[in-house]
Amino acid sequence: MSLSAETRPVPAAPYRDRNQPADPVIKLERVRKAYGNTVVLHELDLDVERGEFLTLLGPSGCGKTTTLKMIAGFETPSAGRILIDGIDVSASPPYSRPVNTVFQHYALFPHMTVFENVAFGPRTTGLNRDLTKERVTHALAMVNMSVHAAKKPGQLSGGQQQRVALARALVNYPKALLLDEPLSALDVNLRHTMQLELKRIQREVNTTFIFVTHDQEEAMTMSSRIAVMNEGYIEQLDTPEEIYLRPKTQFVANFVGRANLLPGQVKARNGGEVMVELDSGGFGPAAAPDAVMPGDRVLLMVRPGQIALLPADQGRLSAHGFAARLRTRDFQGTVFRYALTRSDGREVIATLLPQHQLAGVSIVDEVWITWDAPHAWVVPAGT
Amino acid sequence: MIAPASITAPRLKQPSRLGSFLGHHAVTAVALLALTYLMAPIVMMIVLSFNRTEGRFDYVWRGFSLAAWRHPFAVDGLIDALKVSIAIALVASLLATSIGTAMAYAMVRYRFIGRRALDLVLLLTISTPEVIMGSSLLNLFLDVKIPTGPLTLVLSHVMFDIAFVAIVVKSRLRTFDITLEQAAMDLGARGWRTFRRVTLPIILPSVVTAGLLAFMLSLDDFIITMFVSGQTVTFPLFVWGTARIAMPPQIYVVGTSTFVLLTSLLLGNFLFDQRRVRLREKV
Repeated sequence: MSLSAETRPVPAAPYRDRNQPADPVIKLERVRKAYGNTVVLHELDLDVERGEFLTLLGPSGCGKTTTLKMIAGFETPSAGRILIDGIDVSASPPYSRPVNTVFQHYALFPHMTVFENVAFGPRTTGLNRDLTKERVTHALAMVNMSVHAAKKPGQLSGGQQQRVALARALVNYPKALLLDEPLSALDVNLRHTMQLELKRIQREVNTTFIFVTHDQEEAMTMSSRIAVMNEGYIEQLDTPEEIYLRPKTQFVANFVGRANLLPGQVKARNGGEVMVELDSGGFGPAAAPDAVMPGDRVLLMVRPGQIALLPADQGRLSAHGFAARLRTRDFQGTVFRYALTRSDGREVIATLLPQHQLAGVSIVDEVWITWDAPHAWVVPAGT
Repeated sequence: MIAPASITAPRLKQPSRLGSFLGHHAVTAVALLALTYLMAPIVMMIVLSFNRTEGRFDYVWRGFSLAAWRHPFAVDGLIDALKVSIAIALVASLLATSIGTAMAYAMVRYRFIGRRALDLVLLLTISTPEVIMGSSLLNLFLDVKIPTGPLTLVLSHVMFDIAFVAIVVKSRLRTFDITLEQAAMDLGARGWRTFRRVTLPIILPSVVTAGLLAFMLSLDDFIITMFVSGQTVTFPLFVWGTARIAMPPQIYVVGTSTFVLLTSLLLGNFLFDQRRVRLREKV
């Protein structure tokens, strides 16, 4: 679903250097991409700010990799323009663009040593030997790979290869670094380490990073801003916090973190809050975006961690919310996960810390589900 | 679960000791037979090079002698024919390897009119009977008034060599990781630089193999050479000529030496590849 005018200005990237020019380093204007009759990107507008860590997040086929390839120059837009530092590069080949890419499987040159791999860019642009050596040494030190300079890629582990790929790209001082799911080939522990490493390096070199991933946890950890994409559209472009707490569409709410989405209608509005009458019975308050008015059909979003459970009778008398039957209760390592079934058959998931558990409740018993207004959000229905 | 009494698992027949032995070693036996069949002519050639010769017909073993090996070039015209063959094979294979590799790269990386047709033409070149190719080429050279000789030999050899080179290199390029070339372009390298510094070094073993193949095909060629050689005598033509009169053992000496040389080259190439694998220079 395409987003029209925003009700709130999109916040600037928090890591922007005050001394850098304020215009976006990369600008996509009405970019469209189609292969024959299949449209992969619809009218995309995107401003990438200097020094930010922007993540393109979405499921397979949403167009995030195609967008990255178009910025790099490996694909040309069917319509629209791509500007780097104000210059239209839409028709320029990759070797003319001042951006560099870290590929998903690293694409290190297997017949060259680590040093020669990293030196490839500088040498291609004709940099003299001494300056090249200096830059390459510095780049390798930054990714902690100086010790392995004489090795060939085949002798390195996945994580090490990734660092070399990073150094090889950064040594050219690109205006932006494009990363195409570079961590997806690593095992989980290494991924976490590399995520922090990448963040550190990004701050150190103060370069714009554009990162593509389908892993929402990864995006939340690393980004200053996230563009959540779906089927060729950007559904929301915001900081991780905004995307998690105040998603604009149902897709974003579902994609980032688990969410309970309860259909209903807005009955009243009071400042930043609305009261929603739920289709399955019951009332509940929630924070809402400015555009939502009484009478609108919405989905009330409560995250599993924000739900509180009360005994059915007590809840009915004293709190907003609704009743549901307990279906399962599992221990997930740090929290208890409750699966409850509403009167209309839909499921609600709640995660409770051990100290908040409801005593004396067993399977099939009725329980009251409630929450605090500021911790719930409404999303327009049909998005 | 209880199975009904009438249904039981099939009884396994215990094989006899002899049958089991034969079964286990059947593949080895067949392999040895095949090897013998293929090596027999070569073994004959090596043995006959040590033959002591008398008179015209030398297919009979007369006793061990190193005479042929001590005077390998005693036969008139043999060394000249050998020189001609090697020269033509070198020129043709070098030309064919460069052109064929470039052709293969163009066909795999780019789209152009006639690409599919070119594929078909390459296939036709290697599958058409050589007699037909040879006589057509001769006709062509006569029509265009190119005198037969070394020039027509090189032209003809390059023609069929290119087809083999292109096919070998194309198949290697298809398994080549294109993101390597994309990475090179991303780092600022244009077409030729990417090819020279990234693609070529990596596909070089295949190119060298294709080159060796072209060299051997040219060196060995008889049928097409027969048609277009004119007065020029290549080594295969020389052998054919003397075979009708008397086959000097020096021919077998040359054959054995060629065999030993090529086997060493192949063995060396194999060992070099093993070394690369050990150093984990994977692509």
